Amino acid sequence: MIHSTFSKGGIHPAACKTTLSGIEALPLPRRAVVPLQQHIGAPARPIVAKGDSVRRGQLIAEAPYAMSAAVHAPVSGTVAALEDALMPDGRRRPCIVITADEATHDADETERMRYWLAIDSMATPDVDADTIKRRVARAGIVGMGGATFPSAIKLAPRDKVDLLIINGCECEPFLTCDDALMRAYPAKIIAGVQMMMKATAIDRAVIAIEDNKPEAAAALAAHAVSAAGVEVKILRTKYPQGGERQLIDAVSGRKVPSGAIPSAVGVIVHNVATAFAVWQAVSTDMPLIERVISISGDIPADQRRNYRAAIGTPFAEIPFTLPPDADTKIILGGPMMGKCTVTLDAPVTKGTSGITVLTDARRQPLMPCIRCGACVDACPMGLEPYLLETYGRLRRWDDARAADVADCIECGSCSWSCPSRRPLLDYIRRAKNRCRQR
Amino acid sequence: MPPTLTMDKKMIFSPAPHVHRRRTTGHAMLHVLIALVPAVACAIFYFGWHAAAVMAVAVAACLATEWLITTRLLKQKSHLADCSALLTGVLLALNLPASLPLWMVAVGAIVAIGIAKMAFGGLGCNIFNPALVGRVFLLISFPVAMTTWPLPGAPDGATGATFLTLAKNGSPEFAYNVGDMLAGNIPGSMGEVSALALIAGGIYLLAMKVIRIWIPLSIIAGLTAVDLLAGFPPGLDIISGGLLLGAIFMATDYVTSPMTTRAMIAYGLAIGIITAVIRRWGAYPEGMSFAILIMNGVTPLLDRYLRPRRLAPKPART
Amino acid sequence: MQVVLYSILILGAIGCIGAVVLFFTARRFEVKEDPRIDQVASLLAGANCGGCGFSGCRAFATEAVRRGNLKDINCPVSSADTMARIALILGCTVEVAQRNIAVLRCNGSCQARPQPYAYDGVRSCAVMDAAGVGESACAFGCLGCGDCVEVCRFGALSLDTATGLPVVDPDRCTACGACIAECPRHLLELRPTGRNDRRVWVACASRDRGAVARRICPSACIGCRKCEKACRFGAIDVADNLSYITAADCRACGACVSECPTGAILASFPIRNQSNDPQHIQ
Repeated sequence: MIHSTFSKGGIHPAACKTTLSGIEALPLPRRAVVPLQQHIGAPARPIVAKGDSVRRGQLIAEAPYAMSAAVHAPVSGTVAALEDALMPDGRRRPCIVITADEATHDADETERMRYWLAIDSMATPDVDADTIKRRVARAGIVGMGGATFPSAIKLAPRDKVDLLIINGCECEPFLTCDDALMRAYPAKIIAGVQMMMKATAIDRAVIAIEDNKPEAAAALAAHAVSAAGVEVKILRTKYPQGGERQLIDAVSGRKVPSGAIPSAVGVIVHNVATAFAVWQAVSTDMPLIERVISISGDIPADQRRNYRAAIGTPFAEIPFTLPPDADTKIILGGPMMGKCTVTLDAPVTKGTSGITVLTDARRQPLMPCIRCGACVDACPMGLEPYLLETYGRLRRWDDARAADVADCIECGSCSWSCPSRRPLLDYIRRAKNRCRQR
Repeated sequence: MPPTLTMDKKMIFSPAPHVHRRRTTGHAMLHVLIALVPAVACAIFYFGWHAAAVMAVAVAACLATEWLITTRLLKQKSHLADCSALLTGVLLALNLPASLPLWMVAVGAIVAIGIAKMAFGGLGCNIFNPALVGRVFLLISFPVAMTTWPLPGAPDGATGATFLTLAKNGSPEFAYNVGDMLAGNIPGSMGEVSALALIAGGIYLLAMKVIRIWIPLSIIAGLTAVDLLAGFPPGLDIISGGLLLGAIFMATDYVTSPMTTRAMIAYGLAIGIITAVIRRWGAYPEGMSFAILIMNGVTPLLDRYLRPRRLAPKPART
Repeated sequence: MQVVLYSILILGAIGCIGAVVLFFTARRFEVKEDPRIDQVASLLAGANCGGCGFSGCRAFATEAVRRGNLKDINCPVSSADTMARIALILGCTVEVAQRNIAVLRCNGSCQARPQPYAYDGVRSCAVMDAAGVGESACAFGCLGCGDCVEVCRFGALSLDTATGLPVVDPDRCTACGACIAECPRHLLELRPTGRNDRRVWVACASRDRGAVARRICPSACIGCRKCEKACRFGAIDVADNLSYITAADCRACGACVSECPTGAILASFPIRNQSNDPQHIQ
């Protein structure tokens, strides 16, 4: 059977999804570094001071602004500092640093183990739409696919919406965190989806999964049977199937206009991990203090795993061995859109979907453009990357804007497909950023 | 498990994406060369050692010209490794009659690389297909030598007329049988005679996703349309002359052909139509080279006006 | 012979008809333009740098002639002499504007600043800035890819290979502002050239805490406020761990330069008693 997909472009990078199945608990950190801004929008405002003692799950920074997300303590302990700490890109951002002592650490671990052992038997309460929205906002949930858009805002759309799409595509190579989550907690994800439907008064939800994850699709489909209005749709494996506009196109055929958000065509898109977090927040009052991350890439095969990691865990506490004697890149997220991290002191945040280690990832020498059109074929937005690259390189910002550079979703398909190894996206991104500034 | 992280090396960072597909420009050129193997084999099979000599001279002259210009004139590093000059040499040779004097072959190669490619800025910058410029230069400079076609397998230098010349001069029906035309046992440029060899190469290119089907298909469609209007059998027209060589290998040249699907179709249709018009009503019996060169010149315009359709529609202006 | 004759006659006739048509068309569609626009435009540099705020030199000339004076508009590129001549054409006077010059607010040279990270991508400051912190750990300092050098139309900027920082040629800089708009970290600043070409500025933009800034770059401003205390004219303010000298109040005495413990304050003239590396003096 040929599954549907988005209508333009797309590429087929090697999937490399070789992590072991299952989710393991990563020990809670003794020292958690919790950034105040783990989302798009304004940073949260801290409500604790240095020296305060905090419980695991306690609110430590509130979100008083229209576009923000609350932050909670991932471990019990003492607030050691409110300071600028290193982020993956090497910049410093305001963080709350919490240190745990031996006793609180052990108590936290016990409590955490108990929670995850009991989760399958936990009931889903019947609450009304306002309660759901309030609990989602209180739990500080953000889009967990990487965009980190505050979820509570998305659950209160201003436009008329009639379709909820749950993104379980995970089209990035290497990453398997959503796959693992869908296999482990299908019933809870479906329950979370139903809560989202209730909150937004949408009566139809589609969970979209690429056809390279049959187990996850089967598990969800089995539970979706009993859920009214929820269906599982299998899509073709093609990058960037999980791009918001591509996904909407593939599932519903609707085209989100340039510069508009999905609700303009009556659609809301959430990630599966977000749906699970919503269920946790509404049913168990658990704020977003843990998430699943994939550790993968050029590391020993038995170290490629999915972990349930506390937000604020420094990367250095994740067990993986960097390959010796090689140019190594450590990428947050997948290799197509993930950003490089330059430090292992940076913490796991709400938007961290995993770590991909790549060796031999140095750029190859570039050659002249031979106008082969591979980038035009690959572009899932129907743009002309070769043209945009030239405009970006020559600083012709107005021409780039006229050629719709603002529509670029920075998926990297053009750079991936160029046989001359041209850094298309580097220049396109430069043009896009410049056009946005003016 | 203790975290074991040694950090004595510099951390590398770069913008996304961090992975890349394997194919390079050189690979694409190599695929085209592989696809040309049947046609080259046919040329040598039918026209003997002189065909091989023409090919060797064309390739050598192309490589030498490119090497001299890049390293001596422009003081750059030689990039013969991208195989593009090699490919130009082979394609030029396949567009020549096997009996062409070798010095003329060299002249054609120098024009192809020196004028049509390097003078425009080298790989990727040329407007016109270098091999075709070389061929057309030779055709109008040495018309007699360029239209003297040796008979396949004739060691005594006997020559014959091509199917298209015969068609131009009168009744084509009984000149050559279709089997010979498919296999290549007819007079003509050494690479264009065997339709089957060219189609095999085309299928390889399509399978390897080096070319897309739109350009060859629309060339054939354009030619067929005019033939039907003119009352000429389109089937024979397609397998005769340089049509298949041009449609599969010359018109699909990346650098000089359009990049969007719509532009490719327009480009192909126009080539097909122009070719058929020249063949039926023009002064020359064959018009494929001219048609491709004309449309090469129009390519930037086609790319400009036949843009890909955007996924995101423009919001309605209020 | 007849052929030649006919050809000459026919072509000649076509030429005559064309000339007549052109003559009348030109008359009919002639655009009346103030001749002073051409005069002013011919005095301008013609680089169309946009430093005046108009789209190009001709647009500036048109606007100047339309206004009939040079109030509120200024070509930063033209010398005072040129502006005076333009004023003469317009029949107005011109105040001599303070000449500005671009200075770089970073002195973290390759030798000074450790570079723990290796960048692998397009050598463009804007691209590198979007990808991460840069090759050094400083999130505020110069990235050294030379975007500013690329956009300078007057050849006033060059990348010093030893320091990895751009260098402003004071004689060529026209204060057009192109580099200032280009720098993703806003490190270039227009400052008055100062009396006798004496100017002093803080060559650092780091807002990191002093201890952090110092670890990242030995020549960073650490916000210690020594300069603020040393300044007798109240020209120096320290905010966000960063010192800033207000050009209008600065008398270019150089007291702060000798006081700065990290050598983050630069001067365009030699300073006596300076404890720091003399290479900072330009």
